[in-house]
This record gives sequence, C-alpha cells and structure tokens, in this order.
Amino acid sequence: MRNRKHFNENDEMTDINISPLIDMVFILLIFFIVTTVFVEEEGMATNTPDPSPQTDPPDEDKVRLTLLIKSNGEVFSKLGNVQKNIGLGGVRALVQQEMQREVYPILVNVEKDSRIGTYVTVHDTCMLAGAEGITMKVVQE
Amino acid sequence: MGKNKKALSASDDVEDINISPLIDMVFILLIFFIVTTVFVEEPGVDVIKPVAYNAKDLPKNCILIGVTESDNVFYGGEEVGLNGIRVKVRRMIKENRDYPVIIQADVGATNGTIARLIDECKLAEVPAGNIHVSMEKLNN
Repeated sequence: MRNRKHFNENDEMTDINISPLIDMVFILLIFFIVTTVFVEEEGMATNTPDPSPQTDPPDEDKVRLTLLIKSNGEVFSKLGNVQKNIGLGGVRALVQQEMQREVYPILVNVEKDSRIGTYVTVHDTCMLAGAEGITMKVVQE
Repeated sequence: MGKNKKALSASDDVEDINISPLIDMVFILLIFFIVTTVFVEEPGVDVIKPVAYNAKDLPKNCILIGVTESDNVFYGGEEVGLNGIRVKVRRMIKENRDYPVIIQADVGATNGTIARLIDECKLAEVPAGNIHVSMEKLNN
C-alpha cells in the first residue's frame, strides 16, 4: 500500500526498507518451527509411601483391602486375613463390592520384578470400580 | 523491494506482486509457534506406554524421564541411570518448584525401578502429587 501511494504522488518520501525485517521474521519462524515439540501427555499421578525412613507406614487400620501383584503377574487379594488368588479379572468385582459399602483407600503391594503395565491395569480397574487413594508399595518377595 | 525499485526506475507496466498478505501470514505463523513452543527435553527413547481408562491430561511444561523395557533410565536423550536422575531433577526443580515430573515407562519396566525412580524424585524435592506416569488413554 505504501508503495502504491509513493508511486502515485511521486514525492520525495523515502520508503522504509522492510526486507531485513522480513528476513529476520523468517529466520525466527524457522527457529521456532524447528524447536517446537508437541508434548501431549496423558497419565495418572502415582501414590507411593514417602521414602524417608522416619515417616509412618500407611494406616493399616483404614486399609482393609490389600492387593498383591506378584512378579509373574498373578494378583492376590487380602481382605481381612483371607488371601486369595483372584487374577487381573477378579479385581473389579471385588473392589466394586467393597466400595459399595464404604469407600476407603486401597494398598497395592507390588513385588520388585512385577511389571508397571500390570500395576497400571490394577490401578485403573480400582478407579473404575470407584476406589480412591490407591497407593503402590514395593514389598520383598 | 528490489522489484519495486526496478518498477519505479523503469516506469514500465510490470505489476508489483503484493507481498503484504504473505508477510501477515508469516507473522501469524511466527506468533503461533512462539506461543505453542515449550522447551522440554525429550528422553529420546521409544516406549510402549501402559493403557488406562482413567488417564488425565498432563501439563505440557514438565520434566520427562524415560524408562525402557530393560529398566534403563533416560533423561534428555542420554542414559543417566537411577543414581544420576536426582541431580538432574533437582536442577530443574530449583528453577521452578511447580515443574511436574512425567515418567514415560515401558509396559515391561519393573515396578521396583519405577518405585525407586519416584523415590529419587521425592528426594529431589518434587511434591508427591506432581509425579505422574504417562499412559495411553483408552476411551470406553
């Protein structure tokens, strides 16, 4: 637009040279295109007991249901003093039945060599069954 | 610009190409990229993420730590190991206390490693609620 005006009036007004500006803008644009990473992460917060030794273990009285993930992927439940091999498929029904009476935190014990994939499935299933406050704790085999 | 000058002096009928829409567009692109850029160091490892229905969107500005199937811990494109991660995380946390930590763990990584990694992050003074495990969201 500026150019055209300059053209028509034929005056002495000098045009500002904007090509360095455009060059710079292009360089900036290329820099930002190259450095952009689109981080799109989804996930869950994980609860673990505090690592410092002086803190108390989680309140065992409030935790009535304990799940145990063995290193071979088996899932055991411990309700009161009864221990049962329920497998991954049995988690949802058990947790749902427990949560219908009262919602309380669940402790998931995991053996050192069990897989994170199994734990995530158990955690997810517990949440789908309505549990809140699921804590992961590593136990010795 | 060179074109303009030529048109002026030669006084011929060459039509000037109007470049202002191009420049407008470039500015818009530039602003888009400036706004969306986050400077996050990627772990640089490919992992198969665990899947979950309850996965939530996590913040974009974060510390990413990768854990491979064979329990190697990666940060910023290099293997740092469980023992080296605390220094790295602490340095980032010093800059901004609200930086969340996102662990990109392979489904096959062991819980022992993940738990130790979380402990290391906690010892690096990351608030407990700011440590997340990355997942693939399933839709029911």
